[in-house]
Amino acid sequence: MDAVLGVSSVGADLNDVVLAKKGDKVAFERLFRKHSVSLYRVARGILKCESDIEDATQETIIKAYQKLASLKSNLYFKTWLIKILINECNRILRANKKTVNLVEIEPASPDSQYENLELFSVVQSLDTDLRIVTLLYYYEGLPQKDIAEVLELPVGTVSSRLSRSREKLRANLNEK
Amino acid sequence: MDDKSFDEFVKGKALEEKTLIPSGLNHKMTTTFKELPKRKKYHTRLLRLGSVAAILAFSVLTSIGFASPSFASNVRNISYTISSNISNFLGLQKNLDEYKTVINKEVTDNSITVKLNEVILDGNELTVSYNVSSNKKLEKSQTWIGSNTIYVNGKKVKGGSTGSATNVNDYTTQAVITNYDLGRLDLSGDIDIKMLFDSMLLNDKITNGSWKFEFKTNGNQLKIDTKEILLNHKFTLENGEEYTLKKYTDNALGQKIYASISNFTTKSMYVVTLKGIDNLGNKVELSLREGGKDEALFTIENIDGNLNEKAKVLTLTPYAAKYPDKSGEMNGEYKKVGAEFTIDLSLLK
Repeated sequence: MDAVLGVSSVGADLNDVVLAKKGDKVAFERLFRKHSVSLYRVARGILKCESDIEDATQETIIKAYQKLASLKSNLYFKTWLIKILINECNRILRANKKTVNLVEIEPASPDSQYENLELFSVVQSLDTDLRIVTLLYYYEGLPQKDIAEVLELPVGTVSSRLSRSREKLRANLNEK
Repeated sequence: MDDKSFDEFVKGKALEEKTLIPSGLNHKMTTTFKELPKRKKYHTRLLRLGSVAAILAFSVLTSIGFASPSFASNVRNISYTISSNISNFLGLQKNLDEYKTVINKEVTDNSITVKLNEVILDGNELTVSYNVSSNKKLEKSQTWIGSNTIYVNGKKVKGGSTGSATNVNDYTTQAVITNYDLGRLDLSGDIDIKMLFDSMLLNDKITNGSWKFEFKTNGNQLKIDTKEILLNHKFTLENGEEYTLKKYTDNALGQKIYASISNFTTKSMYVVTLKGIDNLGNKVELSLREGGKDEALFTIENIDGNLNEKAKVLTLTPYAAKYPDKSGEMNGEYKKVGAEFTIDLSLLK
């Protein structure tokens, strides 16, 4: 997360957050795009359908833009974005459960979007509850307490899921 | 391999993976960004004695004038010239010649030139216009960000500031630091100001150096021309904090409402704003620009549009929204926290 980036990068991010809060759309887009790969990975960890991922991302952009001024700590912009995205993904999941799909669901984009995919493939094979925790911990570098806050789970639950995830990753990854 | 080493190993693999955004998603994001409406500015409350995060954000604002290549798009009737004009830059549409101190001095260090254009002292706030340039061509999203410290009559100023910047040509960023809070110093008559830039940031690259400017300025004329109306309107937030609106001021740089706060608490925090209309039906909002332990300042931000010069009466209502106690996301909606009140602008004197 941001806290592990260089000081100047954090400064530039904070700078953009402040500007975006003032209504600067370009700064907001710059910030969002900076984190868009992270957001895409998280969304793809939850949703299977590419159009659902697009919808969740679109809603995240709109909600983040509307609510940005209320972001309490500028340092936690990325974590805050991820939380909004996860809420949107979950909302879409719930909506999908209530509807009967009359058309064939477009599958999530093929793995051609990735290079060197061994880890991501393994992560995607995990159960959903482990998958999100794993993505946030290993890919996004969020500390366990932040993951707990984003997912609204006790830290102990996050720790437990990470432990289970670690064992599965050990079994599936080719350690060098 | 122990857990810690394994985690590092996995994180290393995660870093090696290159994920691309699918073109469909990229297109969706692009169209969504284009369709975002212009958002009104809302202000977060910065506590002088607040959370670490707030202080950190505040100190970042204190130390850098920040940059926005797009700020211009939010400000009307701007004509960019290298010789910066604060009024044009901020979209004030006012002649500030009477109040500004023109500096026009350049200092070059490490092949970077800083030109201090002009300053205006408004009460205890300083507005500063400066340019930064070098022989490096700036790309579209690049703007210079200068880190600076201000000394008033030899004393270092610790206040906060906000600002904006834009590139005026391929090599030059023009910045205006607004509302540089000079604190409760005696600022009557001529005051000596030293402005010291010690580093310049371009993208992630910091260039250290020394760009020092010393000058005198005087805010007396603007102070004389600042009209005010005394107010006495109280409202109380759910956390028990009581705001008393003390006075409304108007001058060439804008309008402000000063307030005192009693029963201050850090247990729960609120964003406070004063919203309403003028007698012509135009929307008016004074947002909390600075909140302290015992005082607050609300301002009309010209980024949202200047106050209509023909307005005679403002009818405002206080609203507040609560910050969440834990996460950074604002869940609360703005709620009315006090009675509607009016400000008769014909009483300005």
